[in-house]
Amino acid sequence: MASINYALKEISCKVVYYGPGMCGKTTNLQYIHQHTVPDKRGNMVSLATPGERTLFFDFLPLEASQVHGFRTKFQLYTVPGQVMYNSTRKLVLRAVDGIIFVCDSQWDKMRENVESFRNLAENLASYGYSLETTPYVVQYNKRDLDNTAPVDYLQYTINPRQVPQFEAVAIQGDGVFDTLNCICTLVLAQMPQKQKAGTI
Amino acid sequence: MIRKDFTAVSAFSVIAAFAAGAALCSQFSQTDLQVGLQASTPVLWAVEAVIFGTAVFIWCSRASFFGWILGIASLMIFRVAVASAGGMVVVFTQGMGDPGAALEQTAGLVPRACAILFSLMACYPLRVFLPLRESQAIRRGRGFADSAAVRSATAATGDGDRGLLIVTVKNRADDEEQVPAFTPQAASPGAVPRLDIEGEIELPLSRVLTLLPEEVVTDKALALGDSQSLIISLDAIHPQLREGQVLFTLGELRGMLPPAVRKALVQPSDSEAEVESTPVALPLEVIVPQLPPEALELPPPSPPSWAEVDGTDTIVFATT
Repeated sequence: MASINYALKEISCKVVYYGPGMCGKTTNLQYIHQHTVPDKRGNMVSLATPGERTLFFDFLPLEASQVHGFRTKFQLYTVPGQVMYNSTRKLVLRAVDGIIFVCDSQWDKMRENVESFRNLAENLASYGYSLETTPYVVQYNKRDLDNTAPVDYLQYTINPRQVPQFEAVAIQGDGVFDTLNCICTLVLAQMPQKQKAGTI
Repeated sequence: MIRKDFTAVSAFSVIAAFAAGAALCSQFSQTDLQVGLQASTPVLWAVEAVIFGTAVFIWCSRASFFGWILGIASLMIFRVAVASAGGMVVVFTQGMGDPGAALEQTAGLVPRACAILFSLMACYPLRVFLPLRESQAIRRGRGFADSAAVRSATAATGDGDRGLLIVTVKNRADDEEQVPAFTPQAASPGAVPRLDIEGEIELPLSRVLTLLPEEVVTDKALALGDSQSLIISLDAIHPQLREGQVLFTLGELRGMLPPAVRKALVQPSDSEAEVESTPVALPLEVIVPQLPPEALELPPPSPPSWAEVDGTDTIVFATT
């Protein structure tokens, strides 16, 4: 849950990268870690299997530009995408402020994208959250591959409500920061409402 | 190091207990109170050590061995200090010229017991400073953090100086005998509102036959399939598009096949019943390009209220 420290003039928010296995969530975070100024980010922690598949989560703390005189800090998390780690995904989603849903654009991953998106909604519901109240954006990753679905089909399956979406090639960094900037803006824009509601 | 559980009240109680002990010790040393029990000094010291050791154990059972010894020594020092302070009180109040004599009086049994009691009271708040034993969990965790796996992982990635830490952990899921399989679920045709879209999708039969269970497909069927197509009505496909897959059972596909190819397959009576209900996922990459534009038409945008942002406060990350 977002927190505001008026004494230190700091805002801290949590953003989670969600999506099916091997869609590029960790790649997003690694790219961000490698391309942000060291004094504006912390160490990235990755708990992975020998095959470099996320086992628990990846974590990266980031500091962004000031907003209305407040330092803004974002804690970026990824979840393990494999189906068997649902309890871990649920734990990572606790107190989330914003979500980046990463889709694998390949044709044979379409069903996994849909299942993962539904899983996201279910896990949020277990905490009483919903996609109606939790900001999220959609990232269509791996756009550089040959066997990818067109964006309009991806929109049709994953994003019929047309929340902000971005095409990306995370391994090259394309679209990574655009996606991150957008979700962070959405999260911060929601802060006044949350303050009024007393949730922060 | 000041600990947050040692407060000003704790400090005051230490001082108060010390002062009270000294005062009472001096008082008892001047009375004629005789205690029948006589013991040699080494025995008294040993008894004191046992009392103090028991007290430390009760106060802080998680204290390390070093902490336990430190606690006993501290209590003994405090006891001597209380008794000495009592002796000094006697010297100053009675105007005794020989402090040694006054101190001898405070070494009596009753003043000693008083000093023991008040040193216990004075040192009780100080127990928070005793070093504790490392718990098994902490020892395991620290060992993991310092393990060769972590060091080698950091070195192997070459990102040690970037602070990127990749820790490889044995995947416990590999040891599990039963892992819930991620199986695609057949979509329910009624889940998505059906649009009134006419049309057909044409799929290369050779491609479809490769997706069928091997035990059903014959060489003759494969040969026939090279030159033919499978035609499926858009009505049957469209409701499943939003599911990210288009599934038909083998039995349903049989009914859609050209007669010659249908006859060339292993017949249902010859194949196991469960094979007929095997779901077959048709290739989306062939289906979707053939869809008319209205098939993927999105409803009017209806983003949630949090998506309405004026964008004036744009977040910027300091990138390299």
